[in-house]
Amino acid sequence: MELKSAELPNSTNPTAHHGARIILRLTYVSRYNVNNANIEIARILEQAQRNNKRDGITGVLIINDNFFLQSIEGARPVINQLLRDLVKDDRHFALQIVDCHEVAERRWNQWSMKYLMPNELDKEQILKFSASEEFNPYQMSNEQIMLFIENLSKLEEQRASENEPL
Amino acid sequence: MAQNTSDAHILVSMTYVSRTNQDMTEQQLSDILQQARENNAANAITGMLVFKDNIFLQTIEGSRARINRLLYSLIADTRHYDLQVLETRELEHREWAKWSMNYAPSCAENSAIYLKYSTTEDFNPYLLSFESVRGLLDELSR
Repeated sequence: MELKSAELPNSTNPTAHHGARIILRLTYVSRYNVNNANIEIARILEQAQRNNKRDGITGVLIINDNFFLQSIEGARPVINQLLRDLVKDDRHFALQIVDCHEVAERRWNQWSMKYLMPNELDKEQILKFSASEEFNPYQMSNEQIMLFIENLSKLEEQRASENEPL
Repeated sequence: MAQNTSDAHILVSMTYVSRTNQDMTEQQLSDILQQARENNAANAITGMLVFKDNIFLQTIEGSRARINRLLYSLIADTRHYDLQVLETRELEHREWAKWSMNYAPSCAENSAIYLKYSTTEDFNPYLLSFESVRGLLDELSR
């Protein structure tokens, strides 16, 4: 992937590439804006995957009926440009960064945006990391959120490999 | 609002850098600081601020919901731009508990501290890793 942080749209600042050597992982939760008819998961995902590929961003996105839970990785100024855009995006609201730190290596390097949707089968995973069966990432600590993403991702990979033809 | 949300128990710290749009007078800076201290005290937010060469470096600590609401305001604030979050993490305890906003003014004696964490004597936290930023904040506050 080619990093072109200095050429990002909206980047009016010639020094925006400062810190571009640093890989930042940012994890946030947000709520769906149910009043916005613009919510169309397939389109959001397709758009995110295309933009992320262009910007050298990798990550994972978990969606259920009420919440977004997303972890994104990339160059520090690039992730922060995306953060500013996310805060202004009216398809969701009440965005909360739960964690943001420098990493030596990416976790989601194989995906411009891995997409997971918890289903009935994952109730157990939700309960495992929550005080109740209801999925509400706003109530979860960062550690619980990271473990939940990790477990959900492994389960999905396991199911995918079981469904592969021999 | 934030005080009623279920995550009010989660304590986080957020560190960011940003640039001012124009040269700031002592009066403007003092107004910003005063305003920040009042708002922070009302929201149980504590922290540390450094301002030099038109760059803000700030750590804020408080409930996750309130810190993120403040982030929304900061991003919307046109007095600065190019805001970059360097780190956000959960805390066992605050590091700046005594200050609604501790402030390190720029002075000549601090050059040695900038040099300690940087390749030059300039203050440019945009270039630094968070580990260096943390050391810098810690030493500037002494």
